[in-house]
This record gives sequence, C-alpha cells and structure tokens, in this order.
Amino acid sequence: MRRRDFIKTLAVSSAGAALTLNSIPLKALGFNSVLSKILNPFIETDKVFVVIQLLGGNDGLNTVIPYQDSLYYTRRPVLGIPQNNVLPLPNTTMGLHPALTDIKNLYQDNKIAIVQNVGYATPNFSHFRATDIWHTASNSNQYFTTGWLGRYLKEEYPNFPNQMPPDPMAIQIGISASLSLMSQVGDMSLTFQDPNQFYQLVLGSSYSGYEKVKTLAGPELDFSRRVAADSLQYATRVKAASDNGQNLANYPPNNTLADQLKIVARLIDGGLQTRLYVVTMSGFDTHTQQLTPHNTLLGRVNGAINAFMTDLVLNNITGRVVGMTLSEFGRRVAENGSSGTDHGTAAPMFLFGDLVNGGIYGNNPDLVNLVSGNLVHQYDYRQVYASVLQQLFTASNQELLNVLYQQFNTLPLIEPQQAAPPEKKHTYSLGQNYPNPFNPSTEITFTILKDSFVSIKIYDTAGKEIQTILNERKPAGTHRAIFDATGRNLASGVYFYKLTADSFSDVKKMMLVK
Amino acid sequence: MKTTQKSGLLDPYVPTPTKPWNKRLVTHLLNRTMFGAKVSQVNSVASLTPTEAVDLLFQPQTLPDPPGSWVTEAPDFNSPYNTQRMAQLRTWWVRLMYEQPISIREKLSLFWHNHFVSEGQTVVIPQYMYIQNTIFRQMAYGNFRELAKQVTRDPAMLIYLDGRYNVVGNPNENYARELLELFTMGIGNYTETDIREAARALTGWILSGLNSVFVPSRHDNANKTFLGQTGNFNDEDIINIVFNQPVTAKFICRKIYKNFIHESADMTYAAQVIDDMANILRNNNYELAPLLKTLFKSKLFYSDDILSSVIKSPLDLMIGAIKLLNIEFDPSFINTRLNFVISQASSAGQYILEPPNVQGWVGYRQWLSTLSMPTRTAFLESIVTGFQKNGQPTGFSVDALQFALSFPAPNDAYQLTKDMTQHLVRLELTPKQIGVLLEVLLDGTLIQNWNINDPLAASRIKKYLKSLVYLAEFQLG
Repeated sequence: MRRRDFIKTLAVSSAGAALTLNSIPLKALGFNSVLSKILNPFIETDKVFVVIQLLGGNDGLNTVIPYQDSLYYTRRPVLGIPQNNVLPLPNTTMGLHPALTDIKNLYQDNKIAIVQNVGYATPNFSHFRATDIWHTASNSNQYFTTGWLGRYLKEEYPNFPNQMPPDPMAIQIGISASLSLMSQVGDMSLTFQDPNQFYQLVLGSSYSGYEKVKTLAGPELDFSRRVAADSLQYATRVKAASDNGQNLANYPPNNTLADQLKIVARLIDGGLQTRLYVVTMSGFDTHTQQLTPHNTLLGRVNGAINAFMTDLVLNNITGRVVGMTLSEFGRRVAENGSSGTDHGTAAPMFLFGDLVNGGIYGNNPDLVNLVSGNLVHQYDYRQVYASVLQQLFTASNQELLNVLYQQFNTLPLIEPQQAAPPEKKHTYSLGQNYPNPFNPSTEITFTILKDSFVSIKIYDTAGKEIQTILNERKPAGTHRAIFDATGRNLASGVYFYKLTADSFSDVKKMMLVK
Repeated sequence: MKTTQKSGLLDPYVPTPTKPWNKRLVTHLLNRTMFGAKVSQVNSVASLTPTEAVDLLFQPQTLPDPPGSWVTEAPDFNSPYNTQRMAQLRTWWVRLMYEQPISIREKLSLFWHNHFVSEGQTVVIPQYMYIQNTIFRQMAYGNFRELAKQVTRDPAMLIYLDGRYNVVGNPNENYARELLELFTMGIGNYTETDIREAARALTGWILSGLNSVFVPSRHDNANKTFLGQTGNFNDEDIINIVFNQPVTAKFICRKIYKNFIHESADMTYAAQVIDDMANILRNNNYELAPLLKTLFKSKLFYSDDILSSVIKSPLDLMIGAIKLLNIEFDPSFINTRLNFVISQASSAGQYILEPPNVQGWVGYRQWLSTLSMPTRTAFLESIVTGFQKNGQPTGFSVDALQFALSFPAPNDAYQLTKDMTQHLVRLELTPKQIGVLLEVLLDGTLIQNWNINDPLAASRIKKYLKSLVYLAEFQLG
C-alpha cells in the first residue's frame, strides 16, 4: 500500500471526528521512533528500488558481448573480448564480459534482466548533458530541472515538505544529491556516506534564526535551513536502522560500489522505510587503454551486486528489492587509436532481484546500421523507468504520465506487484472502532484467517503505550475487543490501536472526547 | 566606464550617505575575492577608496617558492613519492590561500583549476599538477585566449584528457570535446563534426620529460573544416577560431558572473550584465583584468541583492572562518593544521586537486547536502571549541579574547556583539537575532556587568561564536 493511500484511509476512517490525521503534524510524529515503528507495518510490504549509476559511459558492447557477430571483432581488433573468454548466456547468441561470473550465475537463476540497446532519439554525447537527460527523463531537446525519481516521490508524498514522512523518502549515498531526486519542491533525498558518522556529525547541532530575507540571499538562506533541518530530522532514524540491521554476506574489499550497497542492505534490513536508494560508481569513461581498467570496473560491479544479492537472501528481504544499472551512454562501436572507445549511444541496462523476470529483452546490437559509427537505440530508457514504476511500485498510467510526461510502452521486466497483497486484504482485517468518537469505551472488531496469537495495544500520539487490551491465542474468524478509558485519566484526543496477528499488523486511529 | 552598457549596473559604485563604503562592504569584497580576511586586513582596506581597494587586489605578486625541489625532477609514473608530493602540493596551495596578502590571485587560481579541470589521481605526476597550477597563478587575470592556448599544451591536461594519445589517423576526441563544451563555447554551439575536426587539428602533442612537445609526424596535416572554416589547422588555429565566436566571451563571462556575483545568471538584469561583460572582454582582446576590475568596482557588486547571496564553497567557508576569527597557527604545526582543513573540506565535497570530474565542482546549492551541511557546521564548531565531534582535539581554536579585543568596544557587550556579528556575517541580522546572540554572550550576567577582563569572558565569547557559526547566515558569503 502506498503511504498516500494509508493517509487517505486514516482520514476517511476518522471522518466525523473533530480532528483528521492531516492536522497532526506528521513532522512531529517523525521525530518519534516509537510511533513510527507502530506505523511501519503499513509500509513494510513496500518495495525498494536501488539505482546504480555507472558514471562516464559504460562500454555496453564489452559488457554484453555479441561474440557471435564477426563485425564486433572487425570493429574492435584490440578491444574485442576473445570468444573463448566470453561467458555465453544460455539460449542466446550474446555473452557476458569474463569479469561478470556471478552476474552470469544470477542470470541463470532468473534474477537478472538485460534490456538491450537502451537509449533515446538524437542522442547527446556530452557526459553532463546526457547524464541530465537520463536523470530528468527528458527528450534530447528538453531541459527539465526536476528528476524522474523526485517527481515520482512527489506523486507519492504530495504533502512533502509540509508533512515529512517519518523516514527519508530516498537516500543518496554520497556527498551531494543527484538531479534525478529533485522534485518541484527541491531535493527529495537524504544524502550521506556512513550512517554512524552522519549521526555523529548531526548530534548536538542546532539551528536558529528564522527571519525572511527579501534579497537574493533569501532563497539561499531558506535552502540552507531546510537542508540543515532534514539532516537533524533523519540522522537518528538512519542510525537506528543501521544499528538494527545486519550484513550477513561478505562484501569484497576495495570496492566502492560494494561499500555503498552494503550500507543499503543494512538499512533495508534495519527497517528503514525508504523506497529509493541511489549509489554511484565512477571511472567508466574509457578513452584510452581500456581493457584492464574496464575489466577491473566490471569485476567490482560483479562482486558488489553478488554480495548485495546474497545479503538480501540471507536476511530474507530479497523479495522486496530490485536494482538497476544505468549509464549516460554506451561507447562508439569501433575502438579508437588509443585502445579505448569514445562516447557512444545505446547500451544495455541490467535489472536484478528476485522479482525480476530474468532474461534478455531486445535484439542483439545491430553493428551494420550505425549512425556516425554509433548504435541505434531499440528501447527508450524511459520505457525501463515506466516498467519499474508500474510493476514494482504499482504506479497507474496517470501517475506515469505525471512523472514521465509522455506515455511509454512498458516491458514485463518485473513481476507485477499489488498495492496491497490480496491474501492479507481478504483474510486479516482490523475494523474501525465503534462508537467513534467515544467516551468512555469503544468496541474494536478484527478478523483473522487462522488460529493465531493476537495482540491489540493502544498508543497515544506520542507513541507511548497506554494499554494492552488483548494478548492471547484466538481461533480463525471475527472477534471483538473493548477499550475502556474509565479511570485511566486520559486526555481527549487521538489515540491509535494496533493489531498484531502472525505477520499481519494494522493500525487505526480513534478519538476520545470527554 | 563609458555607458555602452545596456544594464548600467557595471557603472562604478560611488559611496553615498545611504550606501557608505564601510567594513560590511569591505568584508564582502575580500570574502568574494579572497578566502576571508582578518580583522586587521578589513581595517586596512576600509581606509582605502573602493577603487583603490580593488586595484590593490590586482597588484602584481612574485611567484611563491615551489613546494619542494622535486618540482624539477624528471617525471616517473612509478615513483613511490608521487602521492606524498601531491599531498605536499595541496598543502602548499592551501597555505598560500591562508597566508596570502590582499590579492585576488589565489581565488582566481582556484577558479581556473575548477574551469580547466585536471584530476591529480589521473595525472599522477605531482610535477605536472604543479606546472599547471603555476600557469593558473601566473595567468590568473591575464589573457583568457592565451591561457586556453597554454592549457591546450599543458602536460597535465595532455594526460587528463588524453591529448597525448591524439594522433593522425586515430584521433582521440576527449580534449576537443571538453575544450568546446566546458572550457570555451558551451554545449549547443558546435556540432559533433566540429569536435571530430578539432580533434584532428589538435593531434601531434606528446609529453617529453616535464614538457610537452609537438611531433610533426603525429599531426594530421590534411585540411579540417571547423566551425565553417577550412584549412590545415593546428591547435592555435582552433583556439583562434573559437575565440572569434562571440559566444566564447559570453560563456566565460557567464561563469565568472555565477562564480563571483550570483548563481541566477538567467534573470533579466543578469543576462544584460553578462552581455556587457562579454563586450568588455572582447573590447580588451580577452584581457581579464579590465573586466574583473570593472566587475568588483561596480554598483552591481555592492548592491543589496548581491550581498551574502552565494553559498560558500567548503574552502571559502573553512579557510574563511579561520581568517575571519584571526586564528594564527603555530608555525611548527601549520601544515598539520592545514591538512586538517583539507580533509574537512574534502568531507564537505571539495578535495582540492581532485575535482569530481572534468566539469569540476558545480558549486552553488550542490555544496549543501544533508551530509555536507553538518560536516561544515561541525568543522566550524571544532575551531571554536577546539574539539571535533568524535572528541578528538583539533589542536587549535579561536583565541576568543584576542578576537574580541580586535574590535573597538570590547567592554560594551551590545556593541561588541554587533561588531563581531557584522564581521562574521554579511546579512544585517534582525534586532531580535542580535538580542539572542547578546543573551548567549552575556550568559546570564547583566549587560552592565560585562567586562572583557572577567575570567569567564573567553568562554562566553566562545559560546557566542558557537551559536553564530550555526546560523544559516554563516553559510552564505
């Protein structure tokens, strides 16, 4: 279920009450880790998307190799990877670079999707402009100041930044935020490199002095304050998730991508309800003597993704996470005079994870019909974006249009997820209390699928537990529980009740009016 | 200045009773053209006229002694000393920023380092990075066209953007592309064919010892067609053709504007100012000094809109804070102290000699993220308190009494608060903000009991400074 739906649900279910959830500052709730833990069950079914950006333009033809095409070797006499070194992909005429051994195993386990020849019309060859195009999901001749992930998050969290979600919506591992995570209201991400160091930095800091300034300095001042406030708000949550989570796989040393994915896995495992992670790896601009460095780079990508996937499996969170690689362009089909490759166009993208429909999508690269020595794209990169948003995050066609500004045909890259798993929807449920508002007592109904241990606890808006009204084994079926405020000296206002039964959990709001 | 300008905003600023030439404007000038200034430097410049002050910034300076005798050693890609010497070069440069007299030179050297970008880790040889750095210093406000020519043949650049591999028959486009896109014209003003043709014209340069040399047999001697002109062009011809394009002057002026005035170069008046700047640059045959002097003497530069409107780079913030707080390093530890500054600036996203990529640091709001912001404030706090967030001592901190005593009325708590605050932030704080800072300074004592000789005065001033550096206003310059 989307967070926005959750908010709507609560707002609707408390209709008639004097207060709605919207009047409770979620920002304040976000500071309270206890309460956000209570609310977490709603979004634990949410999926996580990890973007790996390969900076500099990865050489696609030497990554997913058309080793049965003699033209490949004609155009790349020095750089062509010898046939017997290529790792053939079963039932295809393509193979992987020899450094991608684990990726090949994952492919055989149906956990890797490769989309061939991804690009866009009238490609740009500048690193910076091309990167901006990929980040902003624009046509080659359009200039946007917001990114596709930022716009998606704005769809999902329309009240941001007036209402801050308890956990960061997106995390960029690094020093500065990516353009892809910018929305109409600014940066949607939290940026840091190491959760503990980040926490230490923010600890004890304070900011003050909120006066509007009318000169050009004004917006910069507001911006600085907002960044500072975001750091303050989220540092504790991130530290807690990092302490709570664990890495069970061995990550390769001297591998910056592995270092970053290790943090991502730990935070997901630690319960951080962040949907998007962006990590980066540089060095792919291989103009000269590229064989050895490219081998090293792909070896690191291979080792990092493999360790990450192993970690997800061992932590039993593999069903929630999909990763994707992207790079601003591929490289020229023919090698240059310095045993390297110059800037090119279309290239393959990788998606990985248990939810991925593994296999190769698209044709082998057409090495005959080139434009200025470059490949012609078969898929627009935004088709891949649209597929991910639609299948992983259940974005509707209207939402896709709001985010990508055009309609794109999707590819069946990911097993379609559902907004709320039906078995949970139909077999377990927590009803709205009656009467509501109430004084002094109210009745709560719930339904469970099978014989389960059930608890119902009451919390105040600060997240403090008021009472456990039920804590016992119950048979399948619909049951009732009573909450009686008599003699408890409770103030009028909003309270939450939380049901836990098996892995199902749900929270609803009720109103005590004295 | 003749009024050939559209904007009129580059006319010289003339002090008036409502807009007096005071320490606030002097600090603004010195912060934007240097890495902060000590109280004594502000005082001395305040006694000059605005014109004299700007001219002083452009006084010729002799070149500093090199960071070591190794700068003339033959380059060796496998030398075990390369890393250590690159670090020496870095410390040496930051020391120049810290110790510089009233001069714009180091600020411009950094500007060019961030324009004609090379990354030390790719160049590997510290001698080459030193040579490139020296070009930037020598030509800091020289001729932009000549600077572009020198950079094109600069050994570090020949390594960084692969010019040394660019050879007849097998051109390598890397430098040609960035020359046009990032260094001179800007994207959209040339075609992919222009890049390929320029790459051919740039062929033939390789490294020989500490120099670059032209090898005729590696040069493409056939005709090239570049930006509509055809001929057997070499690198100088390409640069000359590029500098005959009006867009080239505009491109660099836009960057200068964004760097020294304000990021929003697309506002109506900004666009007009940039046009005016480009005209000045072209009328002066690409000599930079007349343009820069005009800019720093202008009405625009001292206008309320521009004051405090840029987000400081990490080096601006950190070296600037050290100088603004009058911090003097013990000479025997100075390099250790500066290395701490270098590491903190690096954590905040600016590792000098190692820009993130050929585009350099984008700066502006990208300086501030949820990570870099606390890194910046933690550094500021650490030079006030003497301790880092992890409890490690910094080894130095502000001498609070000395700092307070450098202002005229250290025994008047209200005036002292105002003076110190005005020295440290450019924005006029509200009476309410000043009141809060005064309360922090007084720390419970009555204002009439404030005495700079009180044993607790130093710790109270430090409390005030700690609050002040956490103001968002301090992030702006």
